[in-house]
Amino acid sequence: MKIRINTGRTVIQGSHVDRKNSPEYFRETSTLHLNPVDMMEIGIDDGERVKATTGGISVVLRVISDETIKRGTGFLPLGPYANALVGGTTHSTGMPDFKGSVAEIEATGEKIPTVGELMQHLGGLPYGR
Amino acid sequence: MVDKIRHVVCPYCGCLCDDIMIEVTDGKISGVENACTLGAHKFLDDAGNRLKGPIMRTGDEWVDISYEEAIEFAVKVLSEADRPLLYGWSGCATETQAIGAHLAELIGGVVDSTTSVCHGPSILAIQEVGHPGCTLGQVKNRADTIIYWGSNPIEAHPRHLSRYTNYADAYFLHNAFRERRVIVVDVRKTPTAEIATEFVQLEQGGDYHVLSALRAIIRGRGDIIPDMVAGVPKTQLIRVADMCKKAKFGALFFGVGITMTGGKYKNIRNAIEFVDELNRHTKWTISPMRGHSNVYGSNEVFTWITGYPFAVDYSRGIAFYNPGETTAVDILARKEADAALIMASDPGAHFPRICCEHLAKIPTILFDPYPSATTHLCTLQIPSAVNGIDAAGTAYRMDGIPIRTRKFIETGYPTDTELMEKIYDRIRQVKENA
Ligand code: SF4
Repeated sequence: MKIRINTGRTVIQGSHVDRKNSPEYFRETSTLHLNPVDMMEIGIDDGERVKATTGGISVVLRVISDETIKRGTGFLPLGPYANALVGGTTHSTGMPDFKGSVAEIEATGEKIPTVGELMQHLGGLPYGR
Repeated sequence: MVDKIRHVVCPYCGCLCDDIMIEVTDGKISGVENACTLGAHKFLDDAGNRLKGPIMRTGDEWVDISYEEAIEFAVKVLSEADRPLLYGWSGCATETQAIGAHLAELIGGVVDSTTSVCHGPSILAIQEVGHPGCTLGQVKNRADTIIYWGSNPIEAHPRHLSRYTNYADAYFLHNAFRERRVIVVDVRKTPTAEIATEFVQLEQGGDYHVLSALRAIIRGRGDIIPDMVAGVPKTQLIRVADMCKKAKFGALFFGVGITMTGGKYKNIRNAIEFVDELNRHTKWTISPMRGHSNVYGSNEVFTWITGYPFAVDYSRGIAFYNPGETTAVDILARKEADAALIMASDPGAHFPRICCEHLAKIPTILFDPYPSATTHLCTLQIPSAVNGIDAAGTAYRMDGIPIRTRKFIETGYPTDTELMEKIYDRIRQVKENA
């Protein structure tokens, strides 16, 4: 199913910006809020995981249902998981399309990478944990 | 020993609240009063979270190195690079930002701040049509109608409402809380939308349409508006336009919900022109909700020094500015930069994937007191004192008011201003001897 993903700050995300490798930040920024009807169509329950794919790139996310989200859209707090789905085009403005990624969403049993593991996939070397 | 320090400035968001009370026990922060959750976390989570000293990636290992070795590495990388990118700057003092701009000139690099991925489009719009803005003090004391457009202050700038808008006392209003009306325009029912007098829920990407419709109604051309505009009923648009016209003093605040969506700076241009339109009837102002504590300062400082507010490219020997070409995301996405200095920001968490991949490939030097997402991508991380905790400096509030942050504990970490001064001086020596 195609979902247009919006991003933004949340209190939990914002409270842990200086602790980006904490379990709280990891949990918050890798949790996609979806409309419960869309979740039923995808075939997932609260807390289950999906794979979100844009332009051939996938990231695994946890899902929670949220009645305030309109059908066909999703909300993913800003952070490395949301941005893994964003392309580098800025339409000559310097600003990428942070709030409009249209992702293909499907149920998955795969594990969600930690922030360090996600950065490792991008060519980095996890520090600490 | 317990110390209570008053009038501390919170170095988190663009509100720069200057009424924080900090309790320090044996040299460590043990209590915070007046700050919101975000600010309280900033202060209380500091202890035990900082890197002890510089760390460097060598092959598949992280090793501890000295500050002297770290500076030497930074000098070598930056003086040898052909297209260095100096990015970030919004979490550090204006004093550090100034050295960053001069360093870009010295090494023929590009200096860009986090502006390019937050309110860069707002600046482009202001360059086209101007900025009818005002200070937050004016809003607090006069505004009876507030619009938050694409902005969710309850989660992003939690004390904005209590210090400057809905819940603040006003000199010129008898019962400010009763008299003030708050209009929230957003694609999602955010916690801020919950407290709004009027919540306008539009379709994602519909900002331009809704602004144009409101402008037409205010111009007296409501007849040409269809029954629904981007998910908003015409009746609601007429009601909102009427509320805006009836205001004695209105203040529109907009967030990245409108700068990041399709249309980008054209959305902001339309919002400014909507405010212009309203100013034919009454008094309205418009201001961006700047995110980082000193992102506004970076625009001020870069403008004094280079003539441009962000994305300044010195590769031609003179300052050149062309957002979309000289902005950090574009330079990284084109894989152009051959070295990066990241100051007090976290592109690992906030840049598109392709940019992060490039940062992991080139020598990337990160200045950040804490391990972040960029830590895993960088080559070298140098921890420095935190501006507003163990370093003092100037920061610009979101309305352009400079505020001096306070240093209230001693930790022994060098400040980023000291580190950048050393790096600048040594590179100058290298260039002079070449
Ligand atoms: S509103 Fe912003 S500046 Fe004020 S205490 Fe909260 S985070 Fe700090």
